[in-house]
Amino acid sequence: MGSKVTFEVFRFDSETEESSYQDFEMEYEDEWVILDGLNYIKGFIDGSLSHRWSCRMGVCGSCGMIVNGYPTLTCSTFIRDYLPGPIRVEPLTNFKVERDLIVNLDDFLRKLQQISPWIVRDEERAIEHGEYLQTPAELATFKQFTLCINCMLCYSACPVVSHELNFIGPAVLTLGHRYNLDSRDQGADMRLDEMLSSDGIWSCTFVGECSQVCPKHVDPAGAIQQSKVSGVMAYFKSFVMSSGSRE
Amino acid sequence: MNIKGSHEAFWWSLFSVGGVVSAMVVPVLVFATIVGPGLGWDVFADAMRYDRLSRLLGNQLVKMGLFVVIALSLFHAFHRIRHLITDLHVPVPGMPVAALSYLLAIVGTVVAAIVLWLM
Amino acid sequence: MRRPRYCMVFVREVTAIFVVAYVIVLLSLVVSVGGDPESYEAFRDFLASPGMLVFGVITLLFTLFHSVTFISLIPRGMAVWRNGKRVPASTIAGPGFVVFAAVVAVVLLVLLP
Ligand code: SF4
Ligand code: FES
Repeated sequence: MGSKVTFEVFRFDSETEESSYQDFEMEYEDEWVILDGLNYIKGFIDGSLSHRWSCRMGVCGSCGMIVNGYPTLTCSTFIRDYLPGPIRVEPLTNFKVERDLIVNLDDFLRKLQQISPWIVRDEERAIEHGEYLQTPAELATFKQFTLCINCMLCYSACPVVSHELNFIGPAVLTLGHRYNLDSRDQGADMRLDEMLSSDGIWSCTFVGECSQVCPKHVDPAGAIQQSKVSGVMAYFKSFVMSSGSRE
Repeated sequence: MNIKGSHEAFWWSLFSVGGVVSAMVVPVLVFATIVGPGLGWDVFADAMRYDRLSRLLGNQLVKMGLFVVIALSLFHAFHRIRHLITDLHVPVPGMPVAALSYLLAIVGTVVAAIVLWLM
Repeated sequence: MRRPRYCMVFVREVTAIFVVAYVIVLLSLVVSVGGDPESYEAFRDFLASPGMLVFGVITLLFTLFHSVTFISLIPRGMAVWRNGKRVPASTIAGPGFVVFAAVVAVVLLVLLP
Protein backbone atom coordinates (compact mmCIF):
# COMPACT_ATOMS: atom_id res chain seq x y z
CA MET A 1 0.00 0.00 0.00
CA GLY A 2 1.02 3.51 -0.60
CA SER A 3 2.54 3.37 -4.09
CA LYS A 4 1.33 5.96 -6.55
CA VAL A 5 0.49 5.68 -10.19
CA THR A 6 -0.81 8.11 -12.77
CA PHE A 7 -3.59 7.36 -15.26
CA GLU A 8 -3.78 9.45 -18.41
CA VAL A 9 -7.43 9.14 -19.23
CA PHE A 10 -9.07 10.13 -22.50
CA ARG A 11 -11.95 12.53 -21.97
CA PHE A 12 -14.54 13.38 -24.59
CA ASP A 13 -17.61 15.51 -24.32
CA SER A 14 -20.08 14.80 -27.11
CA GLU A 15 -21.86 18.13 -26.63
CA THR A 16 -18.83 20.34 -27.08
CA GLU A 17 -17.06 17.69 -29.21
CA GLU A 18 -13.91 18.43 -27.25
CA SER A 19 -11.42 15.76 -26.38
CA SER A 20 -8.40 15.79 -24.11
CA TYR A 21 -6.29 13.65 -21.82
CA GLN A 22 -6.62 14.16 -18.11
CA ASP A 23 -4.03 12.99 -15.59
CA PHE A 24 -5.15 11.36 -12.38
CA GLU A 25 -2.67 10.43 -9.71
CA MET A 26 -3.75 7.94 -7.08
CA GLU A 27 -2.55 5.49 -4.52
CA TYR A 28 -3.25 1.95 -5.60
CA GLU A 29 -2.99 -1.47 -4.08
CA ASP A 30 -1.05 -4.34 -5.47
CA GLU A 31 -4.10 -6.42 -6.42
CA TRP A 32 -5.83 -3.58 -8.26
CA VAL A 33 -6.73 -4.04 -11.88
CA ILE A 34 -6.98 -1.11 -14.32
CA LEU A 35 -10.74 -1.04 -13.81
CA ASP A 36 -10.26 -0.58 -10.04
CA GLY A 37 -8.17 2.48 -10.82
CA LEU A 38 -10.93 3.90 -13.02
CA ASN A 39 -13.57 3.19 -10.39
CA TYR A 40 -11.39 4.89 -7.81
CA ILE A 41 -11.13 7.96 -10.02
CA LYS A 42 -14.88 8.03 -10.55
CA GLY A 43 -15.63 7.46 -6.87
CA PHE A 44 -13.08 9.73 -5.24
CA ILE A 45 -11.50 12.12 -7.72
CA ASP A 46 -13.84 13.01 -10.57
CA GLY A 47 -17.39 11.68 -10.63
CA SER A 48 -17.93 12.90 -14.18
CA LEU A 49 -15.70 10.19 -15.67
CA SER A 50 -17.77 7.71 -17.72
CA HIS A 51 -16.81 4.14 -18.39
CA ARG A 52 -18.61 0.80 -18.73
CA TRP A 53 -18.18 -2.24 -16.54
CA SER A 54 -20.32 -4.79 -14.81
CA CYS A 55 -19.04 -8.19 -13.76
CA ARG A 56 -15.43 -7.38 -12.84
CA MET A 57 -14.51 -10.97 -13.63
CA GLY A 58 -13.98 -11.15 -17.37
CA VAL A 59 -17.42 -12.45 -18.22
CA CYS A 60 -19.66 -9.60 -19.31
CA GLY A 61 -17.30 -8.09 -21.87
CA SER A 62 -18.20 -4.47 -21.17
CA CYS A 63 -14.90 -3.12 -19.82
CA GLY A 64 -12.73 -3.34 -22.93
CA MET A 65 -10.52 -0.28 -23.48
CA ILE A 66 -7.22 0.68 -25.00
CA VAL A 67 -4.52 0.54 -22.34
CA ASN A 68 -1.15 1.90 -23.39
CA GLY A 69 -2.18 1.49 -26.99
CA TYR A 70 -3.34 -2.11 -26.74
CA PRO A 71 -6.94 -3.44 -26.65
CA THR A 72 -7.35 -4.76 -23.13
CA LEU A 73 -9.99 -6.14 -20.80
CA THR A 74 -9.52 -3.69 -17.94
CA CYS A 75 -10.99 -5.91 -15.21
CA SER A 76 -8.52 -8.67 -16.02
CA THR A 77 -5.33 -6.64 -16.20
CA PHE A 78 -3.31 -5.58 -13.17
CA ILE A 79 -1.96 -2.09 -12.65
CA ARG A 80 1.28 -3.63 -11.38
CA ASP A 81 1.98 -5.00 -14.86
CA TYR A 82 2.16 -1.47 -16.27
CA LEU A 83 4.50 0.13 -13.76
CA PRO A 84 5.93 2.64 -13.34
CA GLY A 85 3.34 4.27 -15.61
CA PRO A 86 1.84 6.63 -16.50
CA ILE A 87 -0.88 4.36 -17.83
CA ARG A 88 -2.81 5.71 -20.75
CA VAL A 89 -6.46 4.63 -20.92
CA GLU A 90 -8.52 5.32 -24.04
CA PRO A 91 -11.81 4.13 -25.50
CA LEU A 92 -11.75 1.22 -27.99
CA THR A 93 -10.48 2.28 -31.38
CA ASN A 94 -12.54 1.65 -34.54
CA PHE A 95 -15.71 2.71 -32.70
CA LYS A 96 -17.44 6.03 -32.41
CA VAL A 97 -16.89 7.53 -28.97
CA GLU A 98 -20.02 8.51 -27.06
CA ARG A 99 -18.37 9.98 -24.03
CA ASP A 100 -14.99 9.54 -22.33
CA LEU A 101 -14.30 5.80 -22.41
CA ILE A 102 -17.70 4.75 -23.70
CA VAL A 103 -18.12 3.74 -27.34
CA ASN A 104 -21.20 3.39 -29.50
CA LEU A 105 -22.36 -0.20 -29.91
CA ASP A 106 -25.07 0.26 -32.55
CA ASP A 107 -23.01 -0.96 -35.50
CA PHE A 108 -21.77 -3.97 -33.63
CA LEU A 109 -25.27 -4.94 -32.52
CA ARG A 110 -26.58 -4.54 -36.06
CA LYS A 111 -23.85 -6.86 -37.35
CA LEU A 112 -24.66 -9.33 -34.61
CA GLN A 113 -28.30 -9.45 -35.76
CA GLN A 114 -27.21 -9.80 -39.36
CA ILE A 115 -25.62 -13.20 -38.75
CA SER A 116 -28.58 -14.83 -36.92
CA PRO A 117 -26.55 -16.01 -33.94
CA TRP A 118 -29.04 -18.54 -32.71
CA ILE A 119 -30.10 -22.04 -33.62
CA VAL A 120 -32.09 -21.91 -36.83
CA ARG A 121 -34.36 -24.85 -37.66
CA ASP A 122 -36.30 -25.55 -40.84
CA GLU A 123 -39.02 -26.75 -38.58
CA GLU A 124 -39.02 -26.29 -34.84
CA ARG A 125 -39.39 -29.47 -32.89
CA ALA A 126 -42.43 -29.54 -30.61
CA ILE A 127 -41.64 -29.07 -26.93
CA GLU A 128 -42.94 -32.50 -26.00
CA HIS A 129 -40.32 -34.12 -28.21
CA GLY A 130 -37.67 -32.86 -25.84
CA GLU A 131 -34.36 -31.12 -26.36
CA TYR A 132 -32.00 -31.47 -29.30
CA LEU A 133 -29.36 -33.97 -28.34
CA GLN A 134 -25.69 -33.53 -29.10
CA THR A 135 -22.68 -35.73 -28.45
CA PRO A 136 -19.60 -34.36 -26.66
CA ALA A 137 -17.66 -34.73 -29.91
CA GLU A 138 -20.23 -32.61 -31.75
CA LEU A 139 -20.03 -30.00 -29.03
CA ALA A 140 -16.25 -30.00 -29.15
CA THR A 141 -16.23 -28.85 -32.80
CA PHE A 142 -17.49 -25.39 -31.84
CA LYS A 143 -17.05 -25.11 -28.07
CA GLN A 144 -14.07 -22.78 -28.32
CA PHE A 145 -16.11 -20.31 -30.37
CA THR A 146 -18.87 -20.11 -27.74
CA LEU A 147 -16.47 -18.58 -25.22
CA CYS A 148 -16.72 -15.12 -26.78
CA ILE A 149 -17.91 -12.44 -24.37
CA ASN A 150 -18.53 -9.75 -27.01
CA CYS A 151 -15.89 -7.48 -25.55
CA MET A 152 -15.09 -6.18 -29.05
CA LEU A 153 -11.36 -6.03 -28.41
CA CYS A 154 -10.94 -7.88 -31.68
CA TYR A 155 -12.79 -5.13 -33.57
CA SER A 156 -10.49 -2.59 -32.06
CA ALA A 157 -7.44 -4.61 -33.07
CA CYS A 158 -8.52 -5.35 -36.64
CA PRO A 159 -7.01 -3.22 -39.42
CA VAL A 160 -9.75 -4.35 -41.83
CA VAL A 161 -12.47 -3.05 -39.50
CA SER A 162 -10.64 0.27 -39.45
CA HIS A 163 -10.87 0.77 -43.20
CA GLU A 164 -14.06 -1.12 -44.08
CA LEU A 165 -16.88 0.21 -41.96
CA ASN A 166 -19.32 -2.51 -42.93
CA PHE A 167 -16.96 -5.44 -42.48
CA ILE A 168 -18.93 -7.83 -40.27
CA GLY A 169 -15.80 -8.34 -38.23
CA PRO A 170 -14.04 -11.04 -36.20
CA ALA A 171 -16.36 -11.83 -33.29
CA VAL A 172 -19.58 -11.88 -35.33
CA LEU A 173 -18.11 -13.94 -38.17
CA THR A 174 -16.79 -16.35 -35.57
CA LEU A 175 -20.23 -16.60 -34.04
CA GLY A 176 -21.66 -17.35 -37.47
CA HIS A 177 -19.11 -20.10 -37.90
CA ARG A 178 -19.95 -21.39 -34.45
CA TYR A 179 -23.63 -21.87 -35.36
CA ASN A 180 -22.75 -23.30 -38.75
CA LEU A 181 -20.75 -25.97 -36.97
CA ASP A 182 -23.49 -26.73 -34.47
CA SER A 183 -25.08 -30.11 -35.23
CA ARG A 184 -28.46 -28.82 -34.04
CA ASP A 185 -28.49 -25.95 -36.48
CA GLN A 186 -29.91 -25.87 -40.02
CA GLY A 187 -29.31 -22.22 -40.89
CA ALA A 188 -25.85 -22.44 -42.43
CA ASP A 189 -27.01 -21.56 -45.96
CA MET A 190 -28.73 -18.44 -44.76
CA ARG A 191 -25.79 -17.42 -42.61
CA LEU A 192 -23.27 -18.11 -45.36
CA ASP A 193 -25.14 -15.67 -47.59
CA GLU A 194 -24.07 -12.95 -45.17
CA MET A 195 -20.68 -14.37 -44.33
CA LEU A 196 -19.69 -14.78 -48.00
CA SER A 197 -21.03 -11.39 -49.02
CA SER A 198 -18.78 -8.44 -49.77
CA ASP A 199 -18.93 -7.42 -46.10
CA GLY A 200 -17.97 -10.90 -44.97
CA ILE A 201 -15.01 -13.21 -44.60
CA TRP A 202 -13.25 -12.40 -47.88
CA SER A 203 -12.22 -8.99 -46.61
CA CYS A 204 -10.13 -10.64 -43.92
CA THR A 205 -6.45 -10.88 -44.79
CA PHE A 206 -5.57 -13.08 -41.82
CA VAL A 207 -3.66 -10.44 -39.94
CA GLY A 208 -4.36 -12.42 -36.79
CA GLU A 209 -4.31 -9.49 -34.38
CA CYS A 210 -7.87 -10.35 -33.27
CA SER A 211 -6.74 -13.71 -31.94
CA GLN A 212 -3.80 -12.01 -30.26
CA VAL A 213 -5.92 -9.60 -28.20
CA CYS A 214 -8.81 -11.96 -27.46
CA PRO A 215 -8.99 -12.49 -23.68
CA LYS A 216 -10.92 -15.75 -24.11
CA HIS A 217 -8.65 -17.44 -26.69
CA VAL A 218 -11.53 -17.73 -29.10
CA ASP A 219 -9.18 -17.46 -32.12
CA PRO A 220 -11.50 -15.49 -34.42
CA ALA A 221 -8.81 -15.41 -37.12
CA GLY A 222 -8.75 -19.20 -37.21
CA ALA A 223 -12.55 -19.35 -37.30
CA ILE A 224 -12.71 -16.96 -40.24
CA GLN A 225 -10.02 -18.91 -42.04
CA GLN A 226 -12.01 -22.11 -41.52
CA SER A 227 -15.13 -20.36 -42.84
CA LYS A 228 -13.21 -19.43 -45.97
CA VAL A 229 -12.45 -23.09 -46.56
CA SER A 230 -16.14 -23.95 -46.06
CA GLY A 231 -17.02 -21.04 -48.36
CA VAL A 232 -14.82 -22.44 -51.11
CA MET A 233 -16.46 -25.86 -50.76
CA ALA A 234 -19.93 -24.31 -50.86
CA TYR A 235 -18.93 -22.30 -53.92
CA PHE A 236 -17.74 -25.29 -55.93
CA LYS A 237 -20.60 -27.42 -54.68
CA SER A 238 -23.09 -24.85 -55.95
CA PHE A 239 -21.81 -25.47 -59.49
CA VAL A 240 -22.07 -29.23 -59.17
CA MET A 241 -25.59 -28.83 -57.83
CA SER A 242 -26.80 -26.44 -60.52
CA SER A 243 -25.27 -28.43 -63.37
CA GLY A 244 -26.86 -31.52 -61.84
CA SER A 245 -30.31 -29.96 -61.73
CA ARG A 246 -30.18 -29.06 -65.41
CA GLU A 247 -30.01 -32.67 -66.47
CA MET B 1 -27.62 -21.72 -51.98
CA ASN B 2 -27.34 -18.26 -53.38
CA ILE B 3 -23.79 -17.05 -53.03
CA LYS B 4 -24.42 -13.34 -53.19
CA GLY B 5 -23.09 -12.42 -56.60
CA SER B 6 -19.47 -12.94 -55.70
CA HIS B 7 -16.76 -15.15 -56.99
CA GLU B 8 -14.42 -14.28 -54.15
CA ALA B 9 -14.38 -17.93 -53.13
CA PHE B 10 -12.90 -18.83 -56.50
CA TRP B 11 -10.12 -16.24 -56.34
CA TRP B 12 -9.38 -17.11 -52.74
CA SER B 13 -9.05 -20.79 -53.55
CA LEU B 14 -6.51 -19.94 -56.25
CA PHE B 15 -4.77 -17.63 -53.80
CA SER B 16 -4.39 -20.30 -51.16
CA VAL B 17 -3.40 -23.15 -53.45
CA GLY B 18 -0.99 -20.77 -55.17
CA GLY B 19 0.31 -19.75 -51.77
CA VAL B 20 1.20 -23.30 -50.91
CA VAL B 21 2.76 -24.04 -54.28
CA SER B 22 4.82 -20.85 -54.41
CA ALA B 23 5.90 -21.30 -50.79
CA MET B 24 7.32 -24.71 -51.59
CA VAL B 25 8.85 -24.09 -55.00
CA VAL B 26 9.82 -20.45 -55.51
CA PRO B 27 12.67 -20.09 -52.97
CA VAL B 28 14.57 -23.11 -54.29
CA LEU B 29 14.13 -21.88 -57.86
CA VAL B 30 15.42 -18.43 -56.89
CA PHE B 31 18.41 -20.06 -55.29
CA ALA B 32 19.12 -22.44 -58.13
CA THR B 33 18.77 -19.91 -60.95
CA ILE B 34 20.13 -16.69 -59.46
CA VAL B 35 21.80 -16.92 -56.06
CA GLY B 36 23.65 -20.22 -56.47
CA PRO B 37 25.25 -19.43 -59.85
CA GLY B 38 25.76 -15.81 -58.77
CA LEU B 39 27.82 -16.95 -55.81
CA GLY B 40 29.89 -18.99 -58.23
CA TRP B 41 28.79 -22.41 -57.00
CA ASP B 42 29.84 -24.86 -59.66
CA VAL B 43 26.92 -27.28 -59.32
CA PHE B 44 24.45 -24.54 -60.02
CA ALA B 45 26.51 -22.97 -62.77
CA ASP B 46 26.76 -26.41 -64.33
CA ALA B 47 23.01 -26.97 -64.01
CA MET B 48 22.40 -23.76 -65.92
CA ARG B 49 24.34 -24.88 -69.02
CA TYR B 50 22.51 -24.23 -72.27
CA ASP B 51 22.35 -27.86 -73.41
CA ARG B 52 21.06 -29.07 -70.04
CA LEU B 53 18.36 -26.47 -69.74
CA SER B 54 17.14 -26.81 -73.30
CA ARG B 55 16.92 -30.57 -72.84
CA LEU B 56 15.08 -30.09 -69.52
CA LEU B 57 12.64 -27.59 -71.02
CA GLY B 58 12.00 -29.97 -73.89
CA ASN B 59 10.35 -32.30 -71.43
CA GLN B 60 6.56 -31.89 -71.44
CA LEU B 61 6.30 -32.85 -67.79
CA VAL B 62 8.77 -30.14 -66.77
CA LYS B 63 6.87 -27.64 -68.90
CA MET B 64 3.57 -28.56 -67.31
CA GLY B 65 5.05 -28.34 -63.83
CA LEU B 66 6.60 -24.97 -64.53
CA PHE B 67 3.36 -23.70 -66.02
CA VAL B 68 1.32 -24.77 -62.98
CA VAL B 69 3.82 -23.19 -60.60
CA ILE B 70 3.93 -19.93 -62.54
CA ALA B 71 0.17 -19.64 -63.01
CA LEU B 72 -0.73 -20.43 -59.42
CA SER B 73 2.05 -18.20 -58.06
CA LEU B 74 0.70 -15.33 -60.14
CA PHE B 75 -2.87 -15.78 -58.91
CA HIS B 76 -1.55 -15.99 -55.37
CA ALA B 77 0.64 -12.93 -55.71
CA PHE B 78 -1.87 -10.68 -57.46
CA HIS B 79 -4.53 -11.49 -54.87
CA ARG B 80 -2.07 -10.31 -52.24
CA ILE B 81 -1.13 -7.24 -54.23
CA ARG B 82 -4.81 -6.40 -54.48
CA HIS B 83 -5.09 -6.46 -50.70
CA LEU B 84 -1.78 -4.64 -50.33
CA ILE B 85 -3.24 -1.76 -52.34
CA THR B 86 -6.29 -1.62 -50.05
CA ASP B 87 -4.11 -1.84 -46.95
CA LEU B 88 -2.00 1.06 -48.14
CA HIS B 89 -5.21 3.13 -48.19
CA VAL B 90 -4.72 3.98 -51.85
CA PRO B 91 -7.84 6.03 -52.56
CA VAL B 92 -9.28 3.91 -55.37
CA PRO B 93 -12.48 1.86 -55.25
CA GLY B 94 -11.98 -1.83 -54.50
CA MET B 95 -13.69 -3.24 -57.58
CA PRO B 96 -11.30 -1.95 -60.27
CA VAL B 97 -8.30 -2.87 -58.13
CA ALA B 98 -9.53 -6.45 -57.80
CA ALA B 99 -10.44 -6.69 -61.49
CA LEU B 100 -7.11 -5.28 -62.63
CA SER B 101 -5.16 -7.54 -60.26
CA TYR B 102 -6.79 -10.73 -61.47
CA LEU B 103 -6.60 -9.54 -65.08
CA LEU B 104 -2.83 -9.18 -64.71
CA ALA B 105 -2.65 -12.70 -63.26
CA ILE B 106 -4.60 -14.03 -66.24
CA VAL B 107 -2.44 -12.14 -68.73
CA GLY B 108 0.68 -13.47 -67.02
CA THR B 109 -0.66 -17.00 -67.21
CA VAL B 110 -1.40 -16.66 -70.92
CA VAL B 111 2.07 -15.24 -71.52
CA ALA B 112 3.57 -18.17 -69.62
CA ALA B 113 1.68 -20.64 -71.82
CA ILE B 114 2.86 -18.87 -74.97
CA VAL B 115 6.45 -18.74 -73.78
CA LEU B 116 6.46 -22.38 -72.76
CA TRP B 117 4.76 -23.92 -75.76
CA LEU B 118 4.90 -21.51 -78.67
CA MET B 119 8.39 -20.10 -78.40
CA MET C 1 2.10 0.81 -38.51
CA ARG C 2 0.82 0.88 -35.00
CA ARG C 3 1.64 -2.67 -34.03
CA PRO C 4 4.41 -5.12 -34.91
CA ARG C 5 1.95 -7.59 -36.35
CA TYR C 6 0.60 -5.04 -38.82
CA CYS C 7 4.16 -4.59 -39.98
CA MET C 8 4.62 -8.34 -40.28
CA VAL C 9 1.48 -8.64 -42.41
CA PHE C 10 2.70 -5.78 -44.57
CA VAL C 11 5.96 -7.62 -45.22
CA ARG C 12 3.95 -10.77 -45.93
CA GLU C 13 1.98 -8.92 -48.59
CA VAL C 14 5.11 -7.36 -50.05
CA THR C 15 6.54 -10.85 -50.66
CA ALA C 16 3.99 -11.08 -53.49
CA ILE C 17 5.82 -8.36 -55.41
CA PHE C 18 8.97 -10.45 -55.29
CA VAL C 19 7.10 -13.54 -56.44
CA VAL C 20 5.87 -11.61 -59.49
CA ALA C 21 9.33 -10.18 -60.13
CA TYR C 22 10.86 -13.64 -60.03
CA VAL C 23 8.21 -15.07 -62.35
CA ILE C 24 9.25 -12.42 -64.87
CA VAL C 25 12.91 -13.43 -64.52
CA LEU C 26 11.97 -17.09 -64.84
CA LEU C 27 9.95 -16.52 -68.01
CA SER C 28 12.79 -14.48 -69.51
CA LEU C 29 15.09 -17.38 -68.74
CA VAL C 30 12.78 -19.78 -70.56
CA VAL C 31 12.59 -17.40 -73.53
CA SER C 32 16.37 -17.10 -73.74
CA VAL C 33 16.85 -20.87 -73.51
CA GLY C 34 14.52 -21.05 -76.51
CA GLY C 35 16.89 -18.78 -78.46
CA ASP C 36 20.43 -19.42 -79.70
CA PRO C 37 23.25 -20.32 -77.30
CA GLU C 38 25.04 -16.96 -77.65
CA SER C 39 22.07 -14.89 -76.52
CA TYR C 40 21.49 -17.38 -73.72
CA GLU C 41 25.07 -16.92 -72.52
CA ALA C 42 24.52 -13.16 -72.50
CA PHE C 43 21.40 -13.64 -70.39
CA ARG C 44 23.33 -15.90 -68.06
CA ASP C 45 25.99 -13.27 -67.59
CA PHE C 46 23.26 -10.78 -66.80
CA LEU C 47 21.79 -13.18 -64.22
CA ALA C 48 25.22 -13.57 -62.62
CA SER C 49 25.84 -9.81 -62.43
CA PRO C 50 26.21 -8.30 -58.95
CA GLY C 51 22.98 -6.35 -59.28
CA MET C 52 21.00 -9.51 -60.05
CA LEU C 53 22.76 -11.32 -57.22
CA VAL C 54 21.55 -8.65 -54.81
CA PHE C 55 18.07 -8.92 -56.30
CA GLY C 56 18.27 -12.71 -55.96
CA VAL C 57 19.30 -12.60 -52.33
CA ILE C 58 16.54 -10.14 -51.41
CA THR C 59 13.98 -12.15 -53.38
CA LEU C 60 15.15 -15.31 -51.67
CA LEU C 61 14.70 -13.75 -48.23
CA PHE C 62 11.24 -12.44 -49.03
CA THR C 63 10.03 -15.66 -50.63
CA LEU C 64 11.42 -17.68 -47.74
CA PHE C 65 9.52 -15.40 -45.38
CA HIS C 66 6.43 -16.18 -47.43
CA SER C 67 7.14 -19.92 -47.21
CA VAL C 68 7.58 -19.94 -43.46
CA THR C 69 4.58 -17.74 -42.69
CA PHE C 70 2.29 -19.43 -45.20
CA ILE C 71 3.11 -23.00 -44.28
CA SER C 72 2.84 -22.33 -40.57
CA LEU C 73 -0.54 -20.63 -40.99
CA ILE C 74 -2.16 -23.44 -43.01
CA PRO C 75 -3.28 -25.45 -39.94
CA ARG C 76 -5.13 -22.46 -38.47
CA GLY C 77 -7.61 -22.75 -41.30
CA MET C 78 -8.22 -26.44 -40.83
CA ALA C 79 -9.86 -28.09 -37.90
CA VAL C 80 -8.60 -31.65 -37.70
CA TRP C 81 -10.23 -33.77 -35.05
CA ARG C 82 -8.97 -36.94 -33.52
CA ASN C 83 -10.72 -38.71 -30.66
CA GLY C 84 -12.87 -35.69 -29.94
CA LYS C 85 -9.84 -33.41 -29.59
CA ARG C 86 -8.57 -30.84 -32.04
CA VAL C 87 -5.15 -31.75 -33.34
CA PRO C 88 -2.89 -28.80 -32.38
CA ALA C 89 -1.76 -26.50 -35.18
CA SER C 90 1.89 -27.27 -34.50
CA THR C 91 1.28 -30.97 -35.14
CA ILE C 92 -0.09 -30.18 -38.59
CA ALA C 93 2.52 -27.53 -39.43
CA GLY C 94 5.30 -30.08 -38.88
CA PRO C 95 4.36 -32.28 -41.85
CA GLY C 96 3.87 -29.09 -43.89
CA PHE C 97 7.56 -28.31 -43.49
CA VAL C 98 8.50 -31.93 -44.21
CA VAL C 99 6.62 -31.67 -47.52
CA PHE C 100 8.39 -28.36 -48.14
CA ALA C 101 11.77 -30.03 -47.67
CA ALA C 102 10.73 -32.92 -49.92
CA VAL C 103 9.61 -30.56 -52.69
CA VAL C 104 12.89 -28.66 -52.47
CA ALA C 105 14.76 -31.95 -52.73
CA VAL C 106 12.77 -33.04 -55.79
CA VAL C 107 13.31 -29.72 -57.55
CA LEU C 108 17.05 -29.90 -56.90
CA LEU C 109 17.13 -33.50 -58.08
CA VAL C 110 15.52 -32.57 -61.38
CA LEU C 111 17.56 -29.44 -61.83
CA LEU C 112 21.05 -30.42 -60.76
CA PRO C 113 23.31 -32.62 -62.88
S1 SF4 D 1 -13.75 -12.96 -30.10
FE1 SF4 D 1 -12.52 -12.55 -28.24
S2 SF4 D 1 -11.88 -10.40 -28.52
FE2 SF4 D 1 -13.55 -10.72 -29.95
S3 SF4 D 1 -15.39 -10.06 -28.84
FE3 SF4 D 1 -15.18 -12.28 -28.49
S4 SF4 D 1 -14.03 -12.48 -26.59
FE4 SF4 D 1 -13.78 -10.36 -27.28
S1 FES E 1 -16.27 -5.95 -16.19
FE1 FES E 1 -17.19 -7.70 -17.11
S2 FES E 1 -15.60 -8.34 -18.45
FE2 FES E 1 -14.65 -6.73 -17.38
